[in-house]
Amino acid sequence: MTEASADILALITTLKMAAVTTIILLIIGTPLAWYLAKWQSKKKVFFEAIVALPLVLPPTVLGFYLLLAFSPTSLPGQIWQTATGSQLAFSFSAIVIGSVLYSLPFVVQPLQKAFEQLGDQQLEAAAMLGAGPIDRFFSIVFPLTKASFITATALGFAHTVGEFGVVLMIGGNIPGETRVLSIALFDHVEAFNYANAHLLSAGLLIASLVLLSLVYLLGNNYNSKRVKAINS
Amino acid sequence: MQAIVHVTLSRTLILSSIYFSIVLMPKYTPKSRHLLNVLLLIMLALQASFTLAFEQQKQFKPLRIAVAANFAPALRILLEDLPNKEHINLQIISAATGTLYQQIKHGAPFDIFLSADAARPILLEQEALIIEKSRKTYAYGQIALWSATQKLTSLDVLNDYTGNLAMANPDIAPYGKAAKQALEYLSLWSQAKFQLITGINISQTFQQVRSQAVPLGIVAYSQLKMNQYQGLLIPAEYYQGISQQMVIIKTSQQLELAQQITDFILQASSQDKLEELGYLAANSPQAIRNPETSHD
Repeated sequence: MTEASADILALITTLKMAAVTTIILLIIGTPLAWYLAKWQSKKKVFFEAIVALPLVLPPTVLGFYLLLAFSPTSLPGQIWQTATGSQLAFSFSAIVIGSVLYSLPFVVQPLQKAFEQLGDQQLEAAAMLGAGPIDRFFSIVFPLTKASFITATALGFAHTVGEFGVVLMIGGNIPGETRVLSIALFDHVEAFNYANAHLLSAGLLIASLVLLSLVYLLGNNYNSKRVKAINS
Repeated sequence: MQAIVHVTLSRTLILSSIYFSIVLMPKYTPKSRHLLNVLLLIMLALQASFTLAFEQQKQFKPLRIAVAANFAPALRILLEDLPNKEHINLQIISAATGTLYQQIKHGAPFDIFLSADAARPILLEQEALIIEKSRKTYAYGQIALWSATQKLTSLDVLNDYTGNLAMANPDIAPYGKAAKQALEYLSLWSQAKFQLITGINISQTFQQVRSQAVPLGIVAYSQLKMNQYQGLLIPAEYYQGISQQMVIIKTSQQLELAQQITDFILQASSQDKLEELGYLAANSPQAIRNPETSHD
């Protein structure tokens, strides 16, 4: 395989990892953010701190603990192996689980803030009119907090694309499986392959810039529409 | 393994379609729906290209060589001459020796491990994670004094040098340990007038000197050779040989092929090439006269 096709494979692996991670994060992060926003107890701060932990822990430390947990000799690793028939450490699933943990605060925190600011009136009115919880979420909560969902998605995705330390530890740098762009880039720098490194980092920079601009454009469009609707 | 990748892929696709359809579809303009279709098309294209890239790869079962980052370029050069290489699917995985060691300990699917030191292969041997008797020295590292700003003529330049001196951390990096021993040999270690800048590994030290952030440093001779720089080779008798060892991992399912590749690295023509690249051959008289002691 040539260097260029190896880099393309790394790009595809990265996008796939980021996409899967973001979707999982939205699915588990939304209810988590909702409970954290609505929970009225002093114990809440403890759980908020747990969610924020990945912001503090150095990624290599988180990666090392995950490596211990995913190893075929540890309990979580063994459970995975009996359930799926394949090893967890050094697989694509492992880097997705690692990224979900690592990017969790970037998705949960914006959503939690948005849910906290949401008033109860509309939700109560909808409940009175017979809307179930799922219906209330999609017809009231989601449209009102859509800007925050866009931010959460963009942050979760972008943070996962740029991830390095966790994937380096639990991924094992295996082409087509766990070799992502940031690691390919690191390899090029280590090997003094500066031409390839420049190419790759320029590509990553431009792609991320375009992607993030698109996401914010979407958010702005939506917000200006909302302002127009309120004014008219 | 591949089946799992495909399942995850299709799951991705299904999940994302569900996500986009419930979350974005209702009551939006045709324009946003158009954008949505484009997004889905991109996802599909990604899926197709990924599957393609994967298909190309799977013709031969990959043989994975885990290699210490600073030896990876040399290994690539060596493997260019590997006979029959178009029939072997080699994957070279490079990282810090310590990281690779941890990963092998926790079940990483590697076949061969080329370490930058002897300590980690010895540990793996003690933990019974390698094929018996597969641990062998494949090269000895050499160190050199180097400056990117001035031409060095003699090691005497160190005697009254008062600036910063870059070297790898002697406690964690084998090349740093050798640099410390050389400075001790020159009686410069305890009474040095210079300030030490220690890198976490020899690559960091090399980059510090190359970028001229540090005017003088002790780097690996192979780094200079491979990047065509001129440095001052520090004589081998000033420090204990930096024995770099390799092992075959016990879980390898391609023992014969792994054996063939380790033999290839040790054969005379490969060893000659390593000498050209700034290493000492595994059987070189200098290295044997000055035996490695990294067993401690």
